[in-house]
Amino acid sequence: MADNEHTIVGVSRVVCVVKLPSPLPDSVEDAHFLSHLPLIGHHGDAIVTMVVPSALPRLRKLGAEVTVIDNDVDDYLARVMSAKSSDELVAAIDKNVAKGKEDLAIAQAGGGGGKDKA
Amino acid sequence: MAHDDHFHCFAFPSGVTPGPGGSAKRTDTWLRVFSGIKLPMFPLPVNLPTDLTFYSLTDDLKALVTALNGKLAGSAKVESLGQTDGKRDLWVLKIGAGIEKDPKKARVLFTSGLHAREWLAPTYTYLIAEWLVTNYPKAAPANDMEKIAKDVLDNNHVWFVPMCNPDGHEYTVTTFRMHRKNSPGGDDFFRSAPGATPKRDPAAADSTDLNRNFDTKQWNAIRTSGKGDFSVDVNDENFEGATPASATETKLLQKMIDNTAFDLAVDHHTFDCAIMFPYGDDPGKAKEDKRLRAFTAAMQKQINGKAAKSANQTTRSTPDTWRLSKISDFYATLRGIPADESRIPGSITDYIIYVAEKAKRKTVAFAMELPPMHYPGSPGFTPQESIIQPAFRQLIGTSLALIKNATSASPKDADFAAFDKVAP
Repeated sequence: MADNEHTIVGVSRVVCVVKLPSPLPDSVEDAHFLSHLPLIGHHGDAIVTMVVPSALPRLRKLGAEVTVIDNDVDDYLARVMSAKSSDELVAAIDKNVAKGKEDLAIAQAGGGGGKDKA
Repeated sequence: MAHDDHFHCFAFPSGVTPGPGGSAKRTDTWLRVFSGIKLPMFPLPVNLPTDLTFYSLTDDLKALVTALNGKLAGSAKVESLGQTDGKRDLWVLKIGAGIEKDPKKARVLFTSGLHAREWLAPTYTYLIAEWLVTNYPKAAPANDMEKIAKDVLDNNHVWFVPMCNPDGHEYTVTTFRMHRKNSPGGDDFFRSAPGATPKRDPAAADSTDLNRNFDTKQWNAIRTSGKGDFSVDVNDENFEGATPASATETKLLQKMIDNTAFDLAVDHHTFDCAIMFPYGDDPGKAKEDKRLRAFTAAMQKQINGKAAKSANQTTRSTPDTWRLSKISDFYATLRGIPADESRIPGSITDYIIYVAEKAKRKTVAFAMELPPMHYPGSPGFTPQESIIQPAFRQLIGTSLALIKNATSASPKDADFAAFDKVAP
């Protein structure tokens, strides 16, 4: 996956579900980077975070499972605030995660069909 | 939940006028989202609830001062600790009998709003003050609530700094709801208006995580180690500053703490349901303070008792479960990361403790993460306003108990249980 595929004009941060690798990398700098992603929610055993799109390739290279679920933080917050229950929000994110994994697999296989929402 | 429910539950007492909110004074606006009064004053950025209520913190604090002084002369005042880079005042409300003339009474500090997006915390801190002013009797106490308010305010001095980061808070209202730090213009994500292209304002000071910026004992050691919950990149939301106390807000708060002997201090945040005790920057030492542990254990028991009641559930149809944690374990637990990456340099509660130790005083200081809890699907930093009433009921009795027992050598459960009758 190209490192520049997430460069999008007008987008400063995307919201993604990230499952950290275990154990963390040996590098102090890399471990620190992974340990302190902004924590804005949880999804299963993963965290919901917001990052600049250019950080996504680094996250993946370090072994994190990453799925972009919203291209804009405000879009994510709108989902949170409009969800009628936590189950509804979890189900919606589940759909994003499943689709994201599917698209990522296609992209990594060279199919060229899909990519993260970002 | 109907807005009127909120209003009736937290109605201002006779003689206290709600701040006019919606005035042209944008510089001191804040949100108290518990009320039913709708006073929209400017176009909201995207994705804020359309029914939020805007108040003026300045006017509301002054209204409390007027109301309490009307019942007991010389018992309340509001002062500015100074102005932020954005020219907003950092207000401290001081209440208690003889607030000017009797410095020997126990002194308690409640702070909140260091992190801009954590809206519930300033609201709750304000509500503690409002409860005390509301229930303080003008004559002899007529009921248990008035007896409690009179006992607390006749024998203690309570300081409130409900909004420690007004510049950041304003930015969460007008432009980006998830902003955490101060000085919004001071990083590359700054938008001069909703939708504008992100670009740092060259005139702005570095955008800094204020609760990583206090000049605590291990600040430099943790920075040098490269391990801990902080960043040296100004674009990260836990940027600790280039040097300790580099931020204007930190300097102003440190000056207040340096000059004031607080017996007990609580710093309110969101989100989780946690009572967190220092030292954030020295995890081993956190185990040593038995007095602090006595306080937090009694608190935990009382709050969980309140949270277990169905009327006090916040964001789920299950009780919140409050946990007790070292501050230095907070992120290790939430993120599943190594403990040394969870150390927190530069927190206000550590600073309060270190100042007291230097002066050979005994002070209790800790942080509280207010609801909602962390769970998949949690609304996190953006709960509905219906969270406020149950969160208030969970906590108000305990906050009053803390004031009452601020100088206790070893508080017992019974000392706190006496306040169970508040917001039962």
